[in-house]
This record gives sequence, C-alpha cells and structure tokens, in this order.
Amino acid sequence: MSILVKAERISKVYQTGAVTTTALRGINLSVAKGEYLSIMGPSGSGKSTLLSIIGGLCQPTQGVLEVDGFNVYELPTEKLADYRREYIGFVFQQFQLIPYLTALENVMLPLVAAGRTGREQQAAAIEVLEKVGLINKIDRLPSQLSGGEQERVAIARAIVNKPPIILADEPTGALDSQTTEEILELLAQLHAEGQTIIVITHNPLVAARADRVVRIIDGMIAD
Amino acid sequence: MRLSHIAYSNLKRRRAKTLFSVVSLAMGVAVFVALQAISGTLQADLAHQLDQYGANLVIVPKSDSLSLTYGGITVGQVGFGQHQLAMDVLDSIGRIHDADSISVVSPKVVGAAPTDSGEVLVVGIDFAQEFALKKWWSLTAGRRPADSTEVILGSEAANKLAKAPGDQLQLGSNMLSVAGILAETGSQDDQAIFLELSTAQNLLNMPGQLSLVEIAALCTTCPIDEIAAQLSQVIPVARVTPLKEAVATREAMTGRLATFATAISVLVIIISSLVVLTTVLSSVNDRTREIGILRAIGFRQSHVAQIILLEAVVVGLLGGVFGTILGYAGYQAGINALAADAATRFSVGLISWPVVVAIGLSVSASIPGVIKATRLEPVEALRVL
Repeated sequence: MSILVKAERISKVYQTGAVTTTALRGINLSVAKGEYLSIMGPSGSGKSTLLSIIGGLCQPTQGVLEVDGFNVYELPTEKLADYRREYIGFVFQQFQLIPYLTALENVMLPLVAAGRTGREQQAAAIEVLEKVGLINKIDRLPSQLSGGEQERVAIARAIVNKPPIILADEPTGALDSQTTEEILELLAQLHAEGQTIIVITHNPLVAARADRVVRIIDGMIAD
Repeated sequence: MRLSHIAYSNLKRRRAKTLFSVVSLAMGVAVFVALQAISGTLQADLAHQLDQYGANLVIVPKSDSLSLTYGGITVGQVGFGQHQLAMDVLDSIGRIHDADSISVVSPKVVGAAPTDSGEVLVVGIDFAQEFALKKWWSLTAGRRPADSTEVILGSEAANKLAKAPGDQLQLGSNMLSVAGILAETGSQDDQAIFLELSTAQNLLNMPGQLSLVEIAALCTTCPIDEIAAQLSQVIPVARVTPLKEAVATREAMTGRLATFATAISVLVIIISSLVVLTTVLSSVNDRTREIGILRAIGFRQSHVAQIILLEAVVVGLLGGVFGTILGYAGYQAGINALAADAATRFSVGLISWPVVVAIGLSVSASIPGVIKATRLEPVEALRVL
C-alpha cells in the first residue's frame, strides 16, 4: 500500500510567557492509504497535538509533514484551509456542530466552502446522512439530537466531501457503550470501503478495532 | 446553502444582539437624517428670508470722482463728472439671464427741494417696490400714499417740519399732501421726504432720470456676483455694486447652522458606529469556537470575513431603513415645532443615501471584528485538539 501521510522528525514546542512546554519530540510516523490507525497515550502525551498537525491546524516547530506527496506546511494560509477541506474529515470529541444549523445544513458546510451548488450540496449531504442512519432527522437542530446522533452528524460532515483521511479525536468519549459500538461499526464500515482513518483514544476497545496502534508517551512514539 | 444563509441564521439566533446593533445604528441614522434635513430646510428658509430682506445690489451712475461722503457726513462737493441713469435701465434689468432671480427693483431719484423751513432731502420712489424692498418700514401714523400728490415723511423730517398726516406740504412749486409718517429706522430715511417717482423727477427737474436703482436678488438660486456681472454688461453706463455684507452675513449664519448640525450628526454617528464595533467584536468573541469549527472543516479566512461582512450589511440595511423612517418622522416633527416655512421634498436619493451610509458604517465598524476573526488560529479557537 502507498504511503499517504508521512511525518518526519516532527517536534512541537509551546511557549506561554516564560513557560516552555515540549509536546512532541522528533515524531516519525507513516500512515498507508486505507489504513486504520489508532493513537493511544495518556493525557498530555502529545497525541492531540500530533493529530492537529496532521490535520493542518497547527504548524510543527520542527519537522516535515507530507501528505499525498506534498509538504503541507509549505502551503500558504488559504491553501492550508483548502488542504483541510479536501484531504481531512475531522470528527471531534464534542461533536462541534454549528448550533443554529440543522443536521442537513451542518453536513453541507464543507461543500459550501468548496463552492458546490445548492443541489449538489443537498444530494451529497442526504446521501451521507442516509449512510449514518439519520435520514429521518435531517431538519433537526443539534440540540434536538442525542449524543450518538450528533456524533453521526459529525461523521457525516467529515465524509461528505470524500476526503482521503478521517481524523477522529476521542470519537466515542462522550457516548454510552451501545452508542460507542454503533459509531465503531460505522468507522469500520468506512474503513472497509477503503477510507484512511486515524483515531485518538484512551479506550483500548476502540483502539483494538484499528489495523495498527501507536502509543505516544511524553511526546515520543513508545513502540 | 450559501454563506449568506449562515450569516442570516446567526443573526436570527442572536436576536438580542442583532436588535441592539440595528437600534443603535437606526438611532444614529435617524439623528443624522433629521438634523441634516432640518438644517438644510432652515438654511433654505433663512436664505430665502434674508434674500427678501433689503437690497443686495445697487446700481448707480458711473462717476469720474471719488465719493466725499462718509457715515452721512459730506465733506465737499460731490458730483464732478456725475451722470444720471435713464429710465430704460429698468427694461435692461429685466433682460438679464438671471432676471427670474430678481425679486424687487426699486428705482430712485434723489435731490434737495425747498420748503418753508429750508431745503429738505427728497427721494422719489415707486412706493409698492420700496415697501417690498424695505420690509422693516412701518407707518406710525397715516397710510401709504394713494396717488402722486401724496407723500410720506421720515420721522425726523416730520418732527422738523411739524407735519402730520392730512397736512399740506409746499415742496418747490408743488403743493402735496402728507399721507403717513414712517417709524424711526435709524437710517437716512428718517430725514427724507418720499414722494412718487415721476413727481420727484419733475420737482427736481430730472425728467426721465434716475439717481440709483436698488435691487433685491434671490441669491440662493444664483451667486450675487454673477447677477452683478450680468447687470454691468447690459447697463455699461452704470456701476453695479453687490452688497457683500448681506451675502456674507447670510453665508455666516447658514454656515454656522450647517456646521452645528454636522458636528452633532457626526458625533452621534461615531457613537453608533462604536456600539456596532463593540457588538461585532463581542459577537466574534462569543463565536470563537464556531469560527474554529468552520476554519477546521476548510473555510478560508475570506469565507469567515464574508459571513461577518454579510451580517454587517444586513444590520446596516435594517438600521438604515428604520433610521431613515425615524429620521424623517423626526424631521417633520422638528419642522412643525420650529414652524419653518418649508416644503418637504422626498426623493429616491434622499431616502436611499442614509441607507447606503448606514451599510457603509456597519461594514466599516465590523472591520476590526473581521480582522480578529480571520486571525484566529483554528486550533486555538477550537481549544479541543
């Protein structure tokens, strides 16, 4: 399988006043196309920082991130936004839906930024909402949906633009065990369809569903 | 779905803040519109009244010598090389390009005539024109002359000659009747005897001649210097003098009024803009996480900027429309309270420009919010990853 994500010697240092915090120390990581990768580690280990660097949200202090063969952080600011839209589908722990937009509108958002027509947006959004089992609740606001349903909307939003990579940060952290199982099934289904997935989790049961598990401790890959 | 839908939905969700911005902008626009409209109307009204208040142009014959009169004191013989004007200058005045701007033309012949008590200053006038020109003239006794045998006396002349309405007055070989006595004006009019123009021309042995012509021109419609130039062209034998003092007074008064209205309007508009600015900044703070989500899922900085600016346009449009309506209501109330004699002239331009200004202000006041929003780092805005 070809390499889709290649992180070389990635370091990240945060400076807050006089306090310097090193989050990542020379991380080397490759993710193959279609791979399902889990990143585990204790709180403060740097796994969320690594995810945000792969997602184009946070520039590393040192090192190079290559995705699909190009250096992500050589892109100018607006092109970096395009990279996030075209290459990454984010699934956040707290769902991060826009509260005043319906489920359908939340899923359409990445397509609005992509400049798709209204008809294309609606067709694509309905298709993925059907896939995540929410076709009957497309007109509901996030506040009218359960936690599991909001997570499904978040996953639908992440895949509507058909990005090569899904980055999920504790996707089941706020869900009960039954809903967790449903979400993991959904991710497994996407993986089976060839989707590259990188998941951050504390939960060994969630990590166990991945092809490969990477552990990060004190900003370094442990294994 | 378009970016405008996101902007509109957000405004709907934050009704209180949206309403606050719209109301503050509407109040600013209303004050601006009302003050500017009232000021404009009062300026026009004042200019119109001042235009009608006395002469602002004097036509006299060209003279080869300098005047030897100052403050009513004559220090030598005046009149070396003095010419008189012919009656046909009145026709010439009516032929100038801006003749429509001339409201009063008052021809005069001036001279001295003997009475039982010595020589007196005699002024031949067209009574109807003179009373139209000198709106401050009033009669303390009697009435206006009914025919060419009647005269009116200045207050001081009546005292010195000991004449009252109904008395006879011998002027040269003419026996005339006193019709009325002028109230004191504080000018040379107090010492003069006013009689009908043709009677005075015969009395002074100046048939068909004029000493001067006083003109009141409505200089709101055209510059006074322009009318003076046109008169000089058609009456080359005359010297046409614009009385700039009156024009300058008018300009000073109307200018002060305009400056005051503009200063207050600008102050109110600045306050309204600051309210919008702080509301937008506060709104951006409230939406930090939301902006982070949009940026994380691929919205460019320009997309975020467009959303906030579209919101500003909607707020500006609503504030402008409501402010304009309120402003014109305030204008009507203000004009009624001031009892100004002015007609309201509504036009598309008058109604649309405050709306355009309000949108411009709202957008301008949103710029700091836009800058703040677009500079937000998505990862910091999310505070999640």
